Order: sequence, then structure tokens, then C-alpha cells
Amino acid sequence: MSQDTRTGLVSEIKGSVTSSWGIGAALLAIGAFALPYLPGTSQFEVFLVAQILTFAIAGLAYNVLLGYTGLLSFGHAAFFGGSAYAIGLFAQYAGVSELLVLLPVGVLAAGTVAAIVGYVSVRHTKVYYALLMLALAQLLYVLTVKLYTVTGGTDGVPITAPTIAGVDYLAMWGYGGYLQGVLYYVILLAFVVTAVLLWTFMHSPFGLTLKTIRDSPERARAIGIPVYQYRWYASIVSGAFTGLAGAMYAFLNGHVTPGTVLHWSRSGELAFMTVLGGTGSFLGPVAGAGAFILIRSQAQQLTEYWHFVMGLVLFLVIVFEPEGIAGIVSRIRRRVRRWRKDRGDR
Amino acid sequence: MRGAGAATAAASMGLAGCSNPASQSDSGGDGGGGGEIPGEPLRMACIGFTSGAASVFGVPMMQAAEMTVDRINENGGILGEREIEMEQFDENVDQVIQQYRRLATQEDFDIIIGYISSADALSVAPVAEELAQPTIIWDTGTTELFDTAVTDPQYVFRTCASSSTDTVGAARLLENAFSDVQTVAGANQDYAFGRNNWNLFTQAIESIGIDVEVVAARFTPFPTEDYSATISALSNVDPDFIFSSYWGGDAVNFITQANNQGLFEDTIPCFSAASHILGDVPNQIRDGFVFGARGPHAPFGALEWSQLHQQFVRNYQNEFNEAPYAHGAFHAWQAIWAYVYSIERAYNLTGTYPGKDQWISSMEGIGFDSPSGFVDMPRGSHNVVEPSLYGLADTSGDRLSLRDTSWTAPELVNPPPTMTTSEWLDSL
Repeated sequence: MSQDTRTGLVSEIKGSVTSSWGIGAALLAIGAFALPYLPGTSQFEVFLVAQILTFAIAGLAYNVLLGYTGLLSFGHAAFFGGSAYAIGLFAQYAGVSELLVLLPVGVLAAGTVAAIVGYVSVRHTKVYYALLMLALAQLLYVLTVKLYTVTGGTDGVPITAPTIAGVDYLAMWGYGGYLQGVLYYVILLAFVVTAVLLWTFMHSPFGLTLKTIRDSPERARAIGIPVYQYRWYASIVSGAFTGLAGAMYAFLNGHVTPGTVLHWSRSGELAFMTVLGGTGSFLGPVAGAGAFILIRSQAQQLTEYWHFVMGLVLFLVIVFEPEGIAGIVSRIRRRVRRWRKDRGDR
Repeated sequence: MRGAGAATAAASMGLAGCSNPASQSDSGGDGGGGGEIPGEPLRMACIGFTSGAASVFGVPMMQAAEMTVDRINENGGILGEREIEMEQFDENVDQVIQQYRRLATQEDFDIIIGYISSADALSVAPVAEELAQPTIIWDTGTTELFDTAVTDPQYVFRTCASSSTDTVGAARLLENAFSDVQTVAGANQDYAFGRNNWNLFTQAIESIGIDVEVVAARFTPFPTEDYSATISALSNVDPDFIFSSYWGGDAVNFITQANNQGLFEDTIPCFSAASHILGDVPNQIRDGFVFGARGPHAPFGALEWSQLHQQFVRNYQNEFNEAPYAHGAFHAWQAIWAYVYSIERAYNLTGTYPGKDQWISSMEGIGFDSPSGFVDMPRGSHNVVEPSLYGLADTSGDRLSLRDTSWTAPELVNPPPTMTTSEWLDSL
């Protein structure tokens, strides 16, 4: 990284921290940290926020490809579920229940799958890339369903609450204490680490190179950027962090099945969340994950036709605000700024 | 004896000649009730597929549950005083654990009764134990529930037979009723239910030592519309007997296409979980097809001597203009009454309305008459056992029924509480 880039990055970080966005993010972070101890917070709300954080990790990772590299993937379930299944099967067959061992196993498995799938796929773009990813991911899904005696088939695999650094918090504190006092913070920490690392990546020359490839692969190639190679790196980064999300999901859910983590509809949901939040903004997928899970949770409570509600939301977003929630926020900010300016002029 | 169950239990005792341990204990107990019964209604969540492929089971289950709760409430509710407030939830959701946690921790249901899908039951059962939430699994058959997922259950019970009853029952049927069968094949759905059923069936054949040759095992994707390849492969090996756990649209398509292609000319098909299609596509059912019903849950034929059975079938038909061919309808009755009986039994024994721990003690070892005969939860187990019932489709009347039924006693088709299904089968 050159001196100029580093200085630019540092000043960008400084600018972000001191801006209204930075202050808002800091308040959110404090709120998220204090959530389990806020009066009136129940175990279910902590579970729901933990689920949002889990999918926010996946959304941020997904956007590395969709938003920054311009590749629409319908195969991210392979990374999400690959990690969750690696953890479940490793725990089952190796008899390991330590989070500090299982977590790297999951992320490594997802990274490996991403390296293999990505190597094959990144030579293609647009619909060919999407379909190739879909096909390769479905292979993993079908294998898991078929190998009933090894994987449990559609019944899936249980993920028992892991020990953390050798301490069995579940036995010590019961499930409520374990969820609210430990697992939630593990997921929050994973989210913060993901957000910081991916933000740094995406604002580094690596991220800028991906954007160049997204905007014009031909021009990128003409100025000497190895396009396939960078797309492959992006796939591995995206896959590994999606794997981190899959690992968090496995620990949180306590049971994974091919239908919930490996099916192509999981990839579709990640695409949905990212588009809902806004692919053009770094934090858009976080808002998308939050909105998606809250809307779905409410819709499922209200009606058995909740699929219709989700479809309608996606339709409205694409037709009226393709930039998603981030686009709506930008529009509001622009109006506030204009209103302030108008008031100042008067 | 005090309670909504008293009339039903007494009627069944008198007519069926069966004993009801719950009611016997009630009348002989020291407490005999008298303690305060909570004034607010009991909150019961019922979860089943009211949409999607498995709604062929879920809809009749919800209908039967609603009907059963209405009858109990008409008699004053639990113990004649506490009304049941039942809410229905579709199991066809994306995040079944999220839904379960919400019902258990946000909406504070006293009892959660549900689950048809084995994956869903296996997912929520450990959560129920973690949350100490009384939960009854009412339809799922997987033997993994108490063999691997929750090996030391406290709060989770299952009030229907496991797949052991259906599969070992089918193997015993081969041994006892079809001793001339020499070759057997399988046609099952390629997901956990189909695999679990076929594995148990073949393991039972081997362990019991039945002298048949397994000549083919076909697994079709779930769901499938075109069965020509499967039918052709089965025709090539020409088995004497086909064991199938197909259900829903898959069972209908398979039977329709197999009929057209003549597969069943020389082959006896045995369906362990598809009795609901007797009502759905009666024209496709040929006389002599073998049907089980995930326990002894046939609306017509075998159990019509029981007044409780007659009453249930009649009420169901009157309310919904259809017969309860789907075994789920009977499962719903069993789950709700198991809960009500256990509460009343505990109250009548101790004189106080039971908390969770007393409820667990009361559920363990409970037995009661149901429209499908006597339902029994052996001591040390959280899973009821039922006899296995298979019968031949009888197409001679104006409605399909089962004739020449073959019953196998519960202890011959279920493992004892101290063993897993696999251990038990290995030990036979």
C-alpha cells in the first residue's frame, strides 16, 4: 500500500468516525453491546438481533461480489451451509465441541469451497456466472441430501452448544445465560471484525481494483489488472466471510438442515437482503439483513401467505428504489441538507 | 374423578373393556382434586403444515385439533373449569426455530404441540429442552428424535408411534401374513423420512431373520411427478412385495402410473404412510393393496367396534364433510388428550394444579383409550407405543376401508425404553 493510499485511508476513517454517520454507528454499536442488559429485553429479542447480525455478516460478504465486483451469485448457500455442515459433521465425527476449533474449521471449509467454486466460475460473468454458481452449489446440496447415513439427509445435523476456551457456559449459566452472556457477544464480535476487515479491504487498493473490474473489465484488463485473479480473490474473501456467517448461524440455531442452509433459496435470500439494503453502500446489506428478518418474522406471524409479502417488498424495492434502504436514507439526507441550505439562505 | 376426560374415559372403559390407568389412579388417589384451578385459559399452540405438500396431513390435524378442543371447552375445559385457548401456526415457515422460540419465550404458551416434519422436530426438540418448554411432538415419526437428538428428554414427549412401529410392523407382516413372499423391493422418497423408513424396514427383515431377498431399493426425489423410470426398474426385477413410505402427491402419482403400467399385477404394494389417499383418490386403489396408517388409525373397518372411535369419526365427518382418512387427525386427538389427561391425572392425584415438573411426572407412564385403541407411554420413555396395523384395501363398499387387518403388539414393533431402535433391532 502506497503512502498516499494509506494517508487517504486514514483520513477517510477519521472523516467517517467524526461524521454524523460515524456518530450514529457508534451509538448503534453501544446499543448492540448493551442490548442483553437493557430493561425489557427478552431472550427472543437477543436471539433475533443475533440472527440479524449473522445475516448482516453474510450480506456484507455477499456484497463483496455483487456490489464491489459486479458478480451476481446464486451459489453462496454453498459457503454458508458448507461452513455450518463442516462444523456439524466435524463436531459429530471428531467429537470436538470447542468453538475456537470449530469456527476455523467452518471458515476454512467455506474458504476452500469458495476457492474451488470461484476458480471455475470467475471466468464467466452475468447470467453464466450466476448459473454456474447455482449449479456448483446445488451439487453440495444434493450430496448432503443423498448421503443420508453420513449427513443425516434432510434431517440435518445437530450443533450442540460449544465450549469456549474450554469453558462450558451452557452448563454453568443455562441456555439464557449462554445466549445472552456469551453467544450473542461472539456473534457481535464476529460482525464487528467482519465489518472492519471488509471495510478496510474495500477501501484499500484491492477494493478499488474490484470496483474498476466491476465498472469495466476490459479497461481493467487493458491497464494490466489480472481480472480473473482478482475476481477469484474476491470470491475467496466473500466465501470465507459467508462461511463465518454460516458458522454463527449453526451455533445460534443449534441444528442445520440442507433445506435451511444449503438450498439455493438461501443464496436467493442473501441476494434479496443485499438488494433490499442497497448494493451501492457498504452498510446497505446490514440494513437489508435487519429489514429482511424483521419483515419476514412479522409477515410469518400475520399470514401463511408471507411469501407474497416478501415478494411484494422485493418488487417495490426494485421498481421504486433500486438503491434499497441505503438509497432511501441518501434521499432523506439530501432533502435535509437542501432544507437546511434553504433555511440558511433565508 | 374430576375432569373433561372423565366422561370419555369412563365411556371407553365400559364399552371397550380397556382400563385407563389415568382414570383408575384418579379415582383411587388421595387428593381427588380440590385445589385452585387457574382462572385464565390455558394457552396451547398447535403447529402443523397448513400449506405446502404436507398439508395433506396438517389440515386434517388442525381440523381435528380444533374439533377436539371445542369438545373439551364445551364441557367446561380442563378439569371442567379451565378453558383451552388454542392458536394454530403454519409449520411451513423459513425459520422454524425462530418461530418456536417466539412462541415459547415471547408468547408464553403453556404447551406447544406440533410438528410433522422430522427435520423440524429434530431442530426444535433440543431447544424445547433448553427452554424447559413443555412440548408434544404430535406426528413426526423419525426414530432419531429420542435415539440421538434428545437422549434424556424431560420436557419433550411424542404422543404418536415412531417409524419403528410402521417399518418393523411391515416386516412382521411379511413374516406372519405374507410368508410366501420371496422377493422384496422398496420405493421411497429420497429424503430423510424415506431413507429412515427403508433402513429400518430392511434392518428389521435382517434382524428378525425373514427369508426374503431384497432385490431393489428405489429412491425418488421429493416431490416427483414422473415415476416411469422407477416403475420400469421395479418391473424389471418383478418383486413379490414393495414396501413404500410414499405419501401425498408422490403416493398418488406413483400408484396411478404403476397401475397404468401394470406393476401391481403380480406385486403386492404395501404403503406405510399413505392411508390418506384412500379418501383422496379412491378410484386408483385396487382391492387388496396393503395400507398402514402410522399406527392403527383407519377410520373404517378395524376399529369401528369402539364407541370412542365411532364418535370421533362421526363428529369429524359431520364437521368437515369428509372422513378422517389422514392418520394426522387421530394423532391430533391423541396429543391434545394426552396433555389434558396428564393435567387432570396430576390434579386428581395431588389436589393441586400441576406445574411443569408435576406435568412431566404425570405424562411419564400415562395410558388412555383413544379412537385408535389404547395409547401407552411406557415408564422411562417419552414416546407412546401403539400396535402396528396393516390391512388390505376393501373396495367393495361405498367407501374404502381396511379388511383382514393384521395387528402386531406394541412390544414387538417398538424398542424398550432403555434401548435405541437400532440397538433393539440388532438384539432381535
